[in-house]
Amino acid sequence: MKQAKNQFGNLLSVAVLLLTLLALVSFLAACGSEESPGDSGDAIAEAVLEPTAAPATPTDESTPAPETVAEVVDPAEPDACMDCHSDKDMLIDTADPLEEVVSENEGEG
Amino acid sequence: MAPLEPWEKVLVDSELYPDTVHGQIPCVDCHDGDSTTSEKAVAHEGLIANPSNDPERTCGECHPDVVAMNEFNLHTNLAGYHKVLDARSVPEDHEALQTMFGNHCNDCHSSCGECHVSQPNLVGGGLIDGHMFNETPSMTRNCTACHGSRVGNEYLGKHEDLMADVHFRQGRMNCVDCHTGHEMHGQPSQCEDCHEGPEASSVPPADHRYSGVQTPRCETCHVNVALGNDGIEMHEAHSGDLSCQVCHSIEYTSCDGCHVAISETTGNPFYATDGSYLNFVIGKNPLKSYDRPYDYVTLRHVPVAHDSFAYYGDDLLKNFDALPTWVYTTPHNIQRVTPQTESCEACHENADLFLTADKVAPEELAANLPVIVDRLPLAEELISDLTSEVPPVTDDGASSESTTGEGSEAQTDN
Repeated sequence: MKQAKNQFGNLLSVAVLLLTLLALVSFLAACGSEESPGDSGDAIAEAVLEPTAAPATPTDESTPAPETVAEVVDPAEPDACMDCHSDKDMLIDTADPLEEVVSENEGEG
Repeated sequence: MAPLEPWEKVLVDSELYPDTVHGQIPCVDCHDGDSTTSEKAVAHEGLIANPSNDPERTCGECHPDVVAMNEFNLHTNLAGYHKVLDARSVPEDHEALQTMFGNHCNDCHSSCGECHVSQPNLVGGGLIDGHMFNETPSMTRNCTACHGSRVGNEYLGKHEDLMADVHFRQGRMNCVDCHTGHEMHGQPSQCEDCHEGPEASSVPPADHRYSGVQTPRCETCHVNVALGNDGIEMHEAHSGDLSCQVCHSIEYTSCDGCHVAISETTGNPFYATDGSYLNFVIGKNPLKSYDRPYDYVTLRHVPVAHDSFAYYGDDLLKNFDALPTWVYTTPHNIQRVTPQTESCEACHENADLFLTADKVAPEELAANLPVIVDRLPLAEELISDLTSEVPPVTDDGASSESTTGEGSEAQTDN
């Protein structure tokens, strides 16, 4: 009698395990069906293979420089710097008087 | 090189520059100031005229790899000057020498912009091409603007009766054809570029123009000479014991006695040199190493004197004799045919070409002992140079090779 109870208990455990696995598989299948049409297994594989470590700092100047993070000139914005510094006549008119510096050096430097 | 007019120094090319990569960056990003007003004084408030003096903030934003090397860049750190000043002095005097250096020598510093955008400040500065950034600096407006009195004049043939360097005369070669960006930016040469095994170790960054791996080196292009298979007897005889310039350069500039002070009338620092002259001098190699194994090299006199910095203190160069005043030099006036290449006798037993003790000022004798040639290469030694692999034994029993220098055991890195 006791042996029969044990066998029943084992069968119950196996059944519970199988049901759990079935539920897990169903859950995963449901997730898979929610992929957008553009997603593919390859894309997931690429994403997984993407290196997570930061790339090594390039030491060779021939390596391409990283894209600039600097602000970019907005052509619509007024730029007084360029307006003045591209106007030769204005630069001549507004130039500070030239200070004549007489070199006191003697001989070849 | 004629100085630029004030307006010319700051005129930006409004047609070309805005379309360049750098032209996309707002001026104030690098220069600060105020771009919203055309009132000069207001617009220029807080202006940074030379943004690349702080390369990490400006150039380093997009060129971090180059800027990262800047601390090793001899144009930036001027390490060569510090090295020789430290060697000739004692620590107690370094502070006074630093003051002197800041007043008189630090102007030789060069920033990124002084090679790639404008003329060096040392020659008055000013934009070169309307603020266009030139990847390759201009030979005459950048390189020889500073390196003009010796290198520029020699290379371009500006000394009367002395021909320009053959690399310029016939090859029309620019400075950067030999002196690459890597060298200029201070990238340490790596032994493993050429070597394998135990020799493939890294070398420390150069702290002097003649330290570390020889870059550039003539043999990089003149491979047949390096291999000794160009059929020229003199190359076979002197394969590793003479620097190329010993045979292939002509007269070059030496200077004497630079003294510095602050003007009492203007308060400006100034210098005075005792003299500048052309000569050609062969001496012993003061920097003999794996990379510069030569027994003999060309030497030039540098303008240091015992009292060069007397304005800043008494006897600031207490270790004056630690370094020669006749120094290793690589003249930039290379010729295929020179007086030295005419015959063996042109050099052997020709005292005129060598730095002998009688040509050295008495107060500089001790400093120059390592480079003074105490025994001229004899005429009969040229026969052994040309015909024998084993140096013949001289009358006193010593091999003739051992008497011409310490080079018998020297390695070559060809």
